[in-house]
Amino acid sequence: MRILLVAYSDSEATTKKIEGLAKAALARGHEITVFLNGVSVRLVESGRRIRGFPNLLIDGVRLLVCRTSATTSGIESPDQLVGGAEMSSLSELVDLMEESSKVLFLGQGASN
Amino acid sequence: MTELMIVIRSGPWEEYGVVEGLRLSAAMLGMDQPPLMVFLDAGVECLRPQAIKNPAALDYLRASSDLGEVRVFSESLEEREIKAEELDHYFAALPLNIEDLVGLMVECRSVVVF
Repeated sequence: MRILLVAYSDSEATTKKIEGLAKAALARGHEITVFLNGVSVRLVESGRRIRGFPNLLIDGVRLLVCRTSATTSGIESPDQLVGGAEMSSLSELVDLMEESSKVLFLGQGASN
Repeated sequence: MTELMIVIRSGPWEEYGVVEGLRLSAAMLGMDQPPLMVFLDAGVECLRPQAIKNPAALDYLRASSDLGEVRVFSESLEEREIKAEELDHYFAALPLNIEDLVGLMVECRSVVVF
């Protein structure tokens, strides 16, 4: 099954949810893509030590970053992201939502 | 079937949530997949005239109402003593009750709350 996790927050709680869900889903043989939107793009800014995220990349999780959100957060180029994270767009997110079996949105303001 | 329901619970003063929700709506419209926009709780305040100050967010909301469907939760209007006539007519927000909301949630593939 293809599972898409969409994050909107850079809080520690959101990070833990992404890490936990991704690891559990990977262990069950699912394909995981994490799309970081809004302020969550800061989670993969190079130099920022985020526990768990580098391991997710090693484990085969695809990590995508909204380019517009990145620019808003002062991240201008892919060089400013941790290795393996890719610049993406909301249009790619819409395609991924269509292709994925399940989509989970995590950490957006009012829902937490 | 509408694939995605975008629920706006944030008031216009919580700009981050409102803008991100409307930005996602605009992206979906651009990909010919209009989402169903539902405003509830403090989110209903976004539909008042001049409530949204961010020009881009206002454009996204106008596009959502032009090309998609905008609904507003009746109970949230009542709680806030807002009459449907007081909302910006441009958005043409249709009131829905809890039964309507649940029914639409069941029909949608995903629901995201901002």
